[in-house]
Amino acid sequence: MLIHTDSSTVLPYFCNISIRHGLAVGLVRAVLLIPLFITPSTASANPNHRDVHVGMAVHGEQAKVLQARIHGLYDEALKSTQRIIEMTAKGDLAKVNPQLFISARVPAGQGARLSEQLRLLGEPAGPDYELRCNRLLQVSGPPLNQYITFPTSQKYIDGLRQKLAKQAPARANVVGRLEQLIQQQKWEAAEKMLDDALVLIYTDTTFFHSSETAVILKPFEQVTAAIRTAMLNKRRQIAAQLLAERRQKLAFDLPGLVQQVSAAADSIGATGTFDPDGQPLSGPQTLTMLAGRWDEAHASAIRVMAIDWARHANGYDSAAGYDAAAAYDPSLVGEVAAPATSDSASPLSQEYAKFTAAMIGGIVRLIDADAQRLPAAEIESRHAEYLAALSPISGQLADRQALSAFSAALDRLAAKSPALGLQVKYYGEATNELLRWRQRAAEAMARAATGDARPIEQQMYDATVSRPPDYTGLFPQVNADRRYPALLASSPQILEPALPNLVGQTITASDVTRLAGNSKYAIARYQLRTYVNTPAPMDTAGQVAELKADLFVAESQPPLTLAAAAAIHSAERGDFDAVGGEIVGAHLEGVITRFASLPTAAAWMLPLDRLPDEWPQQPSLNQVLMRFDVQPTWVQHRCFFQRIGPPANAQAAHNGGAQRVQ
Amino acid sequence: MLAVALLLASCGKDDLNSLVDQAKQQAMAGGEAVAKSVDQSLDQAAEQLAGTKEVLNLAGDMQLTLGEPLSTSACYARVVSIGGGRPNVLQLTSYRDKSQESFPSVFVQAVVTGDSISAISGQTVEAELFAQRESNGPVLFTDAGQTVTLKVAQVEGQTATIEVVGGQLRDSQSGGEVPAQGVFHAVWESTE
Repeated sequence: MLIHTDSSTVLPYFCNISIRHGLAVGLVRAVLLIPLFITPSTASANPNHRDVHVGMAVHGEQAKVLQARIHGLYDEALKSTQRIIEMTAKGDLAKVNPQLFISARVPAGQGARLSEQLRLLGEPAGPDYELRCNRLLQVSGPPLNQYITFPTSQKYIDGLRQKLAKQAPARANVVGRLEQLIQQQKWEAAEKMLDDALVLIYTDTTFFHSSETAVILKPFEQVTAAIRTAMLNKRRQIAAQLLAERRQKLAFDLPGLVQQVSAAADSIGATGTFDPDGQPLSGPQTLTMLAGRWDEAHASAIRVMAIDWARHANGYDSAAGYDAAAAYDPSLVGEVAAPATSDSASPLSQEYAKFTAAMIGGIVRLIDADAQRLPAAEIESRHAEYLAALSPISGQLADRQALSAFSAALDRLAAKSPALGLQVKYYGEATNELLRWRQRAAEAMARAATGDARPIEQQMYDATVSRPPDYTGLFPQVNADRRYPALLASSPQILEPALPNLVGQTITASDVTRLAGNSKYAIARYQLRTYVNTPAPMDTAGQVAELKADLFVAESQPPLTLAAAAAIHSAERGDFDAVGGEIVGAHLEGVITRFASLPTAAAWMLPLDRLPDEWPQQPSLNQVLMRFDVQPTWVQHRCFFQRIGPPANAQAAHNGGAQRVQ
Repeated sequence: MLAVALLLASCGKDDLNSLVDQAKQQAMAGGEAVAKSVDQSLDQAAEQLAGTKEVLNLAGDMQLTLGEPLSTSACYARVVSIGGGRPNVLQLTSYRDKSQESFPSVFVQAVVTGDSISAISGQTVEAELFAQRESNGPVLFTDAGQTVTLKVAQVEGQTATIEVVGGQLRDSQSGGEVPAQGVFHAVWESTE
């Protein structure tokens, strides 16, 4: 999609001016390479507690260089604007070099215009840059209006008027050449020539009243409209195609995975093994393999859902890929009810709900098939293996029905050995009440420890709700729907005043799961547009040992119920019901970006059986969420409570493992 | 006193012990002149309590002091033999099963060597104890690695008297420790 620019289209007039006001590098690059959406990659973060002016991350490869270019323009405008404000505050406005106004306002205008391209690509950074750049123009306006009244300024402006008058023939020539390019439908070349010309005009008219600038721009009106319309349509087409291709690339074959589970159950029932890749797997090994595939399917569905939001926000056509009416084996789906989805849920959400129910049903069928085949002598060891395989899956499911279905299947397996069946029954009697009371005590301890600390989503709301006329945040002051924080102003405008009410505050967060593998981070799962990163692991070894002793578990004596096995598994890996602590970092992220670029290892920020299907109406790019970094002072596991000392993560840096969600 | 007796006929088991306690306190505070009528009323109250407990299928009681007094109108004991090399477990609960739980509620669990209530007669065992005076209220519990000491003092038929010999409980609300004392009058429940 690169445009091969004819150097003759670049007037010396443009280059000289460009170099003089400091836009040379950007313009020369623009002259040489003006792709529709540029492709190399640059690193990006999100506005955060350390630097509110960091750009919002982008999710598409095609957007990265475009974002870098816009951010460069924004950064130049920001620095110049800040300098103007500083000098104005010191009473030195008259001493401001006029170039400072030019470098404050021209890049801001250019950035605001280019941000539309990010918008077309479904990037939340687009509306944010537009808000940022317009804000800078707004801020530098009053000093500019004062500046042009100074006698020295008037002299400078008169000089610009004379220069512009002399350049009128050159501008007319440009318009003529633009008309030719339009006639030839060389839109990219026309756009580049137009942009270069406009940059120069805006540079020289920075100090003019808008009516005076309008006169100079008048000859460009028709060509500008034609070029902008043509390029908008072209960019829309390309962006729609890019997003559709990404969606297709990301889409996971959900029915295919369910078919694999079904085939595995049949194979396990017939031969005791399942052989997907030339290596026979036992029933429990098959479950572990399938759980990994489910993780991939989950992460993929989340990403696809976000890509769909990006597409729908721009009104691009729907693409096939997921189907609310997709057919799943009714005998699998019937095992547990599919999680409820609203009538307005997307086809993807509806299909994922059915997929989830079918996966759970398939796992149950697989265990039952194995139970039918196994001799009594092998039941005990296989029961333990299934418990070990199911504990990680159970911990990632929000739907308690699934645990009941798994437990029932395990009970049926155990019953094939009368001795084990009785042991499991009595083990449950000896441990279920203890687990229930441990949970009750842990909850009571957490309630007491919570004190005045507020849930993270409440803290975010309180810090970012608009307080007119001084502060515009993520929520309107009146009739705010707390589910939908959005950029009502630019991200720096929102974040900077909110930070004192966020960083350093004590909060609670719930449903904490350590990221996959031996990650040094855990995450309080996504809810009400927040999620929390905490260090991992916490030093709870003593509590885990006590829990195991209470549940009569030793090396040679595994737990006998899923409740006990899941409790131990979650305790050992550092999954907690709740955490309390101090916010040490805050980051503002676009919802679409967060989920479109979600690493598979971080997909656990949502339970395995849930998607972030949260928009009842048309999604929009300005919807945001917040990530918080929290240093815990306590953790509440399902079965215990523990206070955490300050150096809790001293060892974490050495752990390696999976990545933090960033 | 008549009012107390009338109330007993209509109140639930949660209230019965506290009404009896009130009556006892009034009796202690009153003079000898009223002692006889108080005794009569107490007898009536006790009869009502027994009748109501029968209706509610309650048995036994717990008379504990966990920092402050805590009584329950029922106490059930069971010994669970898991098998497979795992230990036997004595459980004491203030409820027959969790669906019938009311407050105050108490749960005790200890590893024992016998497999029946008579087999553990005379034993002193280390136990975990949890108590909650009201639903969603603070919980008193044996902290990680801590126990309370119980003595199975007396076993008669299907009942047992189990004394709390000593131990400390964590108070979830204050974070502090409180001493545990008292006695369980438990009715044996078969696990079969």
